[in-house]
Amino acid sequence: MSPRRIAAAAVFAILVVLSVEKTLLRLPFIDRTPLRISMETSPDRSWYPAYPRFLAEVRRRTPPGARIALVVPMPTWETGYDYAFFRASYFLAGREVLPILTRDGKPFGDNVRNAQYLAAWGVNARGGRELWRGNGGVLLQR
Amino acid sequence: MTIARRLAFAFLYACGALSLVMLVPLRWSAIPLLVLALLAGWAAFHYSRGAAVEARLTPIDAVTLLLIIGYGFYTTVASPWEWDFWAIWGLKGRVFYEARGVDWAFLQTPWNDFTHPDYPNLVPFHYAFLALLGGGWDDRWLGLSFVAFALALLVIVRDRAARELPPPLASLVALAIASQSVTRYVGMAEGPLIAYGTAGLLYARCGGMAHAAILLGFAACTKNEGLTLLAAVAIALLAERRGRDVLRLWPAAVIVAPWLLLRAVHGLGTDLASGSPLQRAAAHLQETAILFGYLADYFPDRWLWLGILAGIATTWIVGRTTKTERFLVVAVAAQFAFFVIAYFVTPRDLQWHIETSWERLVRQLEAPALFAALLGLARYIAPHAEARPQQ
Repeated sequence: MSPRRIAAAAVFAILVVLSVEKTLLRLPFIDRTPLRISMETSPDRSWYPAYPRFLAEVRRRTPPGARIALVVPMPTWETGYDYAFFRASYFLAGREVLPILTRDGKPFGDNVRNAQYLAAWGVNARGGRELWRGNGGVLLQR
Repeated sequence: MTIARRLAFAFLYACGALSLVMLVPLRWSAIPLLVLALLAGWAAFHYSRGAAVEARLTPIDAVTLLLIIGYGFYTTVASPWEWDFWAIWGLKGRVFYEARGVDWAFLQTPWNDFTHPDYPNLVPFHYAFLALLGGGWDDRWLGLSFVAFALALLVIVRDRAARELPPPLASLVALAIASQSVTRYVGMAEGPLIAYGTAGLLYARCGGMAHAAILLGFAACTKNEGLTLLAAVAIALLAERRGRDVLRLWPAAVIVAPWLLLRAVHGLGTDLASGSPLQRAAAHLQETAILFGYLADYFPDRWLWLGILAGIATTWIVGRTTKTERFLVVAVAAQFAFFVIAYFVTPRDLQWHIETSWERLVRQLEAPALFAALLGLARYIAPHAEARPQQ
C-alpha cells in the first residue's frame, strides 16, 4: 500500500470516527429518565408544570374560535411575554389568542375589549365572571 | 436494498405530494388525503425501480441500525421540545389541523408574525395529516416522523454508496452519514429538509435529474433554505458545464410555484426581503469583520468540518477528485454563500440572528459535504471503485 493510500485511509477512518454520534449508540442501553425530564421541562423551565397545565385547562373550557386575551406578569415581550404568548398560541390553537401588549410594550386596549375571555396567569386579574381557577391562573368570561 | 430504496422514495414522495394537495382550498379530510398519499407512494415505489445494485449488508450496517434505534429513543423521549416547534412548525400544524386547511387569517394577523407566515408548509401539513389520521392533535410521538425521514435518507445514501464502492466502504459511508441525517432539532423542519435536500443533491450529482428535481422541489417546500439550495444546485451544474441539466430541474420550480404564488397573493412577505435589503447589506458591509467573527464564534462541529476539508483536500492532492465530488463541493459552497448573504441583508440584530440560526444552517450541509469527502477518499482507497451513472 502506497503512503498516499495509507494517508487517504487514515483520513477516511478519522472522518468516520468524528462523524458518528456516540451518544445515540449508548442511548438504548442507559436510563433515559433524566433526559426525559430535561426535555419535558425545557419549553417551560421555571413555569413548568403550572403554566402548560393552566393553558391545557383553558383550552378544555373554551370553545373553538373563542377570542382569549392573555394576561401574565411580564411587562414586555422581551422579558417573557413573547414566550407566554407563543406557548399559549400553541396550546390554544383553534382559538384566537390576543396579546394585551403591543410589541413596544404599550397596552393593547382593543384586544382586551374584543376578548370574550381573559386567561390570566400569575396575576390577580379582574374584569369578568370567573369560570375556573387553578394552576396559578384564572379564566374569566367577559 | 432496492426495495428499501423504493420504500424510501415512496415515503418521501408521499409526504411531498401531500404538501401540494393540502394547499388546495378544500376542507381537509383524512380518508381522501390518505388515499392520495398512498397513490403518490405507490407511484414513487413503482417508478423508482432503477437498476438493481448488489448491496451486501455488512456488520457495520448493524451499528448504523443501532444508531437509528438510538435516535428513535431520543426523538420520542418526550413531546418535541424545541421552541421553534411550538412557536412555528408545530403551532402551524395544529392551527391548520383545527381549521382543516391553511388558516390564512391566522397567518395574516400581525401579532402572529412570530410564526414566520412566509415559511413553506410541508412540515406543518405533515403534522396536520397525522392529526387527521389519528383523530386529534397529539404531539407525543411526532418525533417518530424524524426517524422516518432520517431512515429514508440513509437508505438512499447507502444505495448510492453501494453503486460506487465495495460493501465495507459503502457501509462505513452510511454509518458516517447517519449521524448527519438525524437532526437534533426534533420537531423543526431541519430533518425533512436534510432528507430531501441531501437526497436531491446525491441524485443531481450523478445525473439522476428527474429524482433530483422532485426531491429538491420538496426541499423548497420544506424551508426557505430549500429555495436557495435549488439555486446552489443550478450554480454547481453550470460550473460542471451541465447547462442542460439545469433546465431539467424544471419540475422543482413547478412543485414550489403554488406556495410562492399563494404567499404573494396573501401578502406574506419574507423578513429578509422587507424594507431595503440593499441598504442593510451596505450597512453590514461596514461590519464585515464583526459578521465573520460571529460566524466563526458560533460555527458548530469544527473538528468534523476540519476533517471534511482535510478529506476533500486530500482527494484533490492525490488527484482522485472526480466531477461528481466537485459538483457536491461547489453546491455546498454556493449554499454557504447564500447563508452569508442572508446575514448581510437581515433586518434583525446580527448577533442574535447568527447565534440562533447559523449552527442549524451549517448542520444542514454536513451530510452532502461528508459524502463528497468520503467518496473521494474511498475511491482512492479502493482504486477500482468508479463513479457510475445513476441508473
